[in-house]
Amino acid sequence: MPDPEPLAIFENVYAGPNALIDAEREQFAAYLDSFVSQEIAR
Amino acid sequence: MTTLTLSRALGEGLRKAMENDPKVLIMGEDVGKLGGVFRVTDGLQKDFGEARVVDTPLAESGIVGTAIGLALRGYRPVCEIQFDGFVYPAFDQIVSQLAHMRLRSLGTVSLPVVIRIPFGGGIGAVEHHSESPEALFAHTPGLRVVACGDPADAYVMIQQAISSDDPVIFFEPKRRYWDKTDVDTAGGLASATPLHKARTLVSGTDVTVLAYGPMVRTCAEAAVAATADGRSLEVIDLRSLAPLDTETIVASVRRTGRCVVVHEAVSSGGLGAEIAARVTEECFYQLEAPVLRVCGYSTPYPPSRIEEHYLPDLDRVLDGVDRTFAY
Repeated sequence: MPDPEPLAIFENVYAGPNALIDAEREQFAAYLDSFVSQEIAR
Repeated sequence: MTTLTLSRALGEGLRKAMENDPKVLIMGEDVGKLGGVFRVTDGLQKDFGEARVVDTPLAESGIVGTAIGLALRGYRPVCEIQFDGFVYPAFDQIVSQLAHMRLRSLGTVSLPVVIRIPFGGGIGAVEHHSESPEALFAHTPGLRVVACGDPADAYVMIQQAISSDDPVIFFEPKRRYWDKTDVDTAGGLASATPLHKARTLVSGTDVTVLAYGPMVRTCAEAAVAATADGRSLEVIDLRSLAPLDTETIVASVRRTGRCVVVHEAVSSGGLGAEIAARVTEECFYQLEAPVLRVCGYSTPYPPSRIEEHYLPDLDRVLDGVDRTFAY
């Protein structure tokens, strides 16, 4: 069974949208993307 | 419009929810024949029967554990924890099971359980009967945590909580059970303020004062008193403690430049600390002073004969406001 995607951390916490979870997901996604950007820059 | 006490408004909200959905059940210690120690469920067992309004043993862990089982079978249980300090035996069921089942089941299982908890002091009671444990639950992902402040809002919020597919910890300000306001019992929920949103109770320009539960009325009274000093307080009833309505809080503080958080719970590690951090992150360049807290002291709840010294009151709120102008 493959590992879940890192952003799966934020799934299935609440039944509907949650502002705090959404904001933290966005921050974490941007953080993850920053590694991709650095790889491309190299 | 009908004039109701907060206790009666909650009872009418429960009644409406039970009429609208046969899957709504009520369970707790003395909620049936007695109608609850604060009479919130008075008359419901007589009208809906012993199968839907269940007098339970004195076993909070069992009450919540049973509610989880009922919710797994499609019911919407509403548990009453008789007093705030009685919730601790149920803590494991709430934070380890109730809060996590959705994630554990990859979103296939909802547990729409409401746990009503009378909280706070001011009624001359002893420890375990005057506590404010909301931060323990607001710190637990998977739970929604709310606190009502007046009868009109309580009537709406209890129905919204019951209709939520998430577990909701519903705090009721026990010293406000006898407060009365007009309640629109004919109105529906569609036009009501959503459960996760704060509401601006008093508009002002100088200081944002954030409160919930029993402190809402205290802060509204402080806003009136502050006008004598020429100060304009904006009082926001947070309503939802998890999630916090950061949008409303931040918009207000960016206008006023000052923020005071008021709650009965101990200051250390409380909601005020969380709010102070959020406001500092979002409003750093607009703040004229640090976010201040007016709270219960970081001690166990004191004997009732000196509880008025422990509890924030109008003067302590105004003192907090004064201190924000000292920077």
